[in-house]
Amino acid sequence: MLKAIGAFVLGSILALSACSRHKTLTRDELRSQIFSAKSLAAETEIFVDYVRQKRATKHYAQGHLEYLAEQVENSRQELHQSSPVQGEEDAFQKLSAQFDALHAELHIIGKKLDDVNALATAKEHIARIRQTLDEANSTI
Amino acid sequence: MKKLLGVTLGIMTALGGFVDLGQIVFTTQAGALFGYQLMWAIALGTAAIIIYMEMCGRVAVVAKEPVFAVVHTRLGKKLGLAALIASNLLNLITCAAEIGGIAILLHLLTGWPEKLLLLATTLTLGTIVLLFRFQWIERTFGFSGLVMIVFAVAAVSFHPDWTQLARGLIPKVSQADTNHTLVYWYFAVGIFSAMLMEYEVHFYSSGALEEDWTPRDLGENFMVAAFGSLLGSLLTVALLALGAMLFLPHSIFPQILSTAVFAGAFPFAEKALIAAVAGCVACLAGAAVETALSGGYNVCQFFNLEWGKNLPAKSVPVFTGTWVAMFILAAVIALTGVRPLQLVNISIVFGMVVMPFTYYPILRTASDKNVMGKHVNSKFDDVIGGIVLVLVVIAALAAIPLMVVTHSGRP
Repeated sequence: MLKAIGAFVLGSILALSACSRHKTLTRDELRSQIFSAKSLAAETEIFVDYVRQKRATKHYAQGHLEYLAEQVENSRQELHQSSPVQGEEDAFQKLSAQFDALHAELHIIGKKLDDVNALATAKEHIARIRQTLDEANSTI
Repeated sequence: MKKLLGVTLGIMTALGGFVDLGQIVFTTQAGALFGYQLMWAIALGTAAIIIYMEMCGRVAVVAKEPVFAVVHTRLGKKLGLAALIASNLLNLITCAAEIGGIAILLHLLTGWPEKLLLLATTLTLGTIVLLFRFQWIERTFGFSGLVMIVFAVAAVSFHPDWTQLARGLIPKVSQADTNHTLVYWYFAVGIFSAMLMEYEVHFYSSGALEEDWTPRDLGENFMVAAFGSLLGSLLTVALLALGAMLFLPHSIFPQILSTAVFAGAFPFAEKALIAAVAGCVACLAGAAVETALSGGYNVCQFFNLEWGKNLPAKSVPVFTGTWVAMFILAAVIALTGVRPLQLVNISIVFGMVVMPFTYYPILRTASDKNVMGKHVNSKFDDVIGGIVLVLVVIAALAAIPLMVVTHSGRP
């Protein structure tokens, strides 16, 4: 019984590590990455409004934006370590560029939390990022 | 008054148990992806944890055997030891995740460096556990966790669609496509697992003995288990509803703790945000304390060594040494920089796999007339307990394959 449990746990770990090493993004995985990027962009838009309405403390706003930027950075890294399946290079490039743009916007927002106009501009930029991601998704 | 204060064991167990880091993010994600469709998993998990929590309390009180003494007796030394090692590893991972989560929340509150806050959190929790008697530990974390009510108030203020919410009590077996269906079942298993996390019953049954419950307290045992779990369940429903109302319409999939937290304060101003953070800190701290203490309880109960939070620390060296070691190792794991949500994903999925090895011995003991006498399970208890155990086994078998094929529930 113990041997069976051991084999099961070892098998699971091997299966998981195999999953984490693969490099080619399938169409479904690319769609999933785009969904994640759109989600982060939409969340940033909502949060910018929340900050503009002075409903978040300064520490919370800065901290949350740091964590969002970290999440975007993780996704960027993951993407940079992968390549698209043949025929999806364009969507892949668009996604990569939008992750970069979102990362840059998050840094700008973090520095201009008290500047209502800068926040409004950043929100417009993020809306455009989301639109581009929608377009990329529709081409897959 | 004593009875009222006794309820705090159930509240702390349930809030620290299933309104912890994993549940806060996991349930909000489930709501953001599937709306109210997974309400049934919460209802099922609530019923299951009430049944088994009550059984664990009853076995502890009547047979004077807490969970890991029962595991030893029923599974034997070898398999029991494997269950002990697996359970304590999961407790350690969960404790690390909760401490990491608290550091994140305190960073959001103060802006101070996360690693410094992580060390301060570990030191503070360790000091509280060392200095406070068991009853004061449960009261401190039980009552402070009630601040989480702000999530329920936020959910109600969004005017949920009660009809849709009620419809969510019926499982929807298939979704739009195979991928969505698999993700749906991954979240169903995850919610069920998070509500039945083993350390809840370890802590609860040990707590019943720490509080010197006798068979005369068995009525209270059911009340405590049911009240605490229903309160935890209510907050879990609030998290699901917030995910459904705030994130689903915008196609947001909350991937970090701070997103799930601000959902609890979204309709309100700054003070509600501070309350939401404070409530989460209290729940996560309760979970960290539960897992660390459970580590000590499990080892001592399995090897039949003396244990007890109310005994002088020096007179129970293995118990004290184990929970202190749990805190220290958890802090070391969290300090390596591994993200708490990654840890909690592991603990939820692998927790489900280990679960049958705890719940089966409990059911067997509670059904044993030689051990339980007149407090043995009724036929009804046996049938319901058996059905829950079958579901636990099915979920345990499905947990890892679902995690692999869905890439940990990635939509």
